[in-house]
Amino acid sequence: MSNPFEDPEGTYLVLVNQNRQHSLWPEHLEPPQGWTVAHGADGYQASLDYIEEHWRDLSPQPTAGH
Amino acid sequence: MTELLEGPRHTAPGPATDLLVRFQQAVAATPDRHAVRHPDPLTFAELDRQSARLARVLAGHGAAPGRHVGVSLPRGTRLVVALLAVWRAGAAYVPLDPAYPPERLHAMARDAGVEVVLTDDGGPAWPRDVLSLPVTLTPAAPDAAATPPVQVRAQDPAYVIHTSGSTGVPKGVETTRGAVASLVDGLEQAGIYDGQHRVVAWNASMSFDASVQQWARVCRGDSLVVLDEAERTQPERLAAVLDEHGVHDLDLTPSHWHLLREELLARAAAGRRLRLFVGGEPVPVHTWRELAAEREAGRLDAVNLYGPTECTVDATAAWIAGPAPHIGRPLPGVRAHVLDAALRPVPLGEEGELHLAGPQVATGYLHRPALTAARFVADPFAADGTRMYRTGDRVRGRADGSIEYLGRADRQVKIRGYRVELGEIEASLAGHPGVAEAVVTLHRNAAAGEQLAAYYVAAPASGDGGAAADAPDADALRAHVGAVLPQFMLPAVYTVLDAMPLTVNGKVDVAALPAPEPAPVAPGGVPEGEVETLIAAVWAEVLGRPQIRSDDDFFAMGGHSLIALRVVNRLKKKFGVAMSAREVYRHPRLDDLARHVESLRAGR
Repeated sequence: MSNPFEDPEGTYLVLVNQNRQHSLWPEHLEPPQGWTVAHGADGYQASLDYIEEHWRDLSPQPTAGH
Repeated sequence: MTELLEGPRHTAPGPATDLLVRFQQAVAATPDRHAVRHPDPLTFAELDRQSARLARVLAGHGAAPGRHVGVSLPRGTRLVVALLAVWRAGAAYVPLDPAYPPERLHAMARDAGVEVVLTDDGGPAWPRDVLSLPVTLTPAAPDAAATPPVQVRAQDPAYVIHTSGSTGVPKGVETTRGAVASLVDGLEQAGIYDGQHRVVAWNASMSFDASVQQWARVCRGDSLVVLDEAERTQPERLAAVLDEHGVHDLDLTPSHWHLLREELLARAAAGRRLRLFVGGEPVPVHTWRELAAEREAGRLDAVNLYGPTECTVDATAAWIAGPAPHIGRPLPGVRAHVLDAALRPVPLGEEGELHLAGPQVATGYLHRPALTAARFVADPFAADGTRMYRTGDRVRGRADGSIEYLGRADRQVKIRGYRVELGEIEASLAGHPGVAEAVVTLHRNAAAGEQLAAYYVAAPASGDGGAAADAPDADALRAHVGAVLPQFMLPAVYTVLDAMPLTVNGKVDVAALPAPEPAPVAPGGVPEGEVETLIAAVWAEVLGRPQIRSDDDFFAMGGHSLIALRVVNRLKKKFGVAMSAREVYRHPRLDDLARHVESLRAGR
């Protein structure tokens, strides 16, 4: 079973939800509703680096309206 | 197809009541009932006052929602007071098992930003910037007004549990108060927690998240019996405690059942019915059938609980009944999806990776945003901005809606219930200057059960290019990893190789590794005398070794707490001496243990 989230050669998006939580996402799959694309498409490591840099506080940070 | 694997919705979706609110309700409803029955009894009113007092002290040292407080106490009543006090202060607790190597404890405390640790008097030393607060059970003045708990939000952290990390550093899973409340609510709705008041024995280590499912029950008004090390490993003592306190529920791993089964089956046959909360590792088919037969005969109930720490303790549950092991259905509130590589639900009966969603999904891995974003991913089925956790567990759905566990998709293993990333042990071995490369596998030894086997290639000696001459031996490596890893992560057998066997893709070919072989027996050191010879025979049998020397070390040969218990039982049968597992630890060398047994025989 090859894993769509663990392909070092793959192309990825970085998604963000209303709580500023981030999700790695395979570029070839449709991003789920409730999420917006914050970065990409980009390589695997570059996407992880983006997340390390932009998501510092893992606790949910509800944006206005939530 | 996915609906099939959802927990039944008994109630309108909504946040479960916070456990500290429920604790206050229990205090008001039954102030004089025992909240803790054993070892030091405390009523609900007393536990309320004790935990409120400690929570005030913690608050004075900065404990508040979002903050982490270390807890480094042995099993006992004070541990319950400490955990509850941390929650009362609104903070999250970080288990720091005093038995772990200090280096690992300090790394975990640093990782979690712990500034205060609740401790025992005789515990390990802490870095200078960490405040150690000893917990005592001095009686609280009966008129001391208990301050109400700090109010928290569902997303505020409840605890951080460190699990083995594949890159060589443990990772801290942070979960929330809302998730724990949801767990308790789900276990109640599924009927796994009984509707009536129960007396609950707490067995699992606090470092192991199954402990939450036991101790947090005090918040719903149940009474706790906290088992100490001797009670949980000596079957007669356990049976005595269960009888004395009328225990209804007990948690254990399948490995632990294997060692306690004789006593527990005898109790069940005598009509003392117990509910077993089995978890931590897959239930072997023979254990499943044995427990199913007991349930069929109306002598005991056993429930198999499955769940990764990342989904807050238990995600699915099954009553142990019928012929074949499975992990049951999702708890109410949990959504389970069995998906293929394109995240599509696989047809029923086909293998896929289990993904879990719902309010029990944890916050993530502390200070590991990239790792968190790669494991806790957008949930395309909810499509509401919530996440699902990729478990790495290969499963298939069954026609009756339950799930069958098939294995791991990666190199994580379970050893006696502990979750271990083999990569972490390998990284630790490779940190030895004499090791160029290391691989660790889980090896099944017919006698001793599952053992970790290490394979390594020596680093080239500086200068003349020779290699093996400088290879560190097993003792050197055991000491090296023993300084940083907890005991359950230490390999039992070390094998030096000239080179790692490789697959065509250039990866280590695990299947081509030789069977692990115990170190050759050096000349001399042959066991002498009746006692040494008999102990050597017992060790050879329980540890699966052909030969034992009189200076052999129990731990170095792969002995562990559950094997120690078997040694104790065998020595009791052969020599009629009553001894504890702890005495085996205190005399790890065979000749020392033999002298100890001789002194016990002489003293009879």
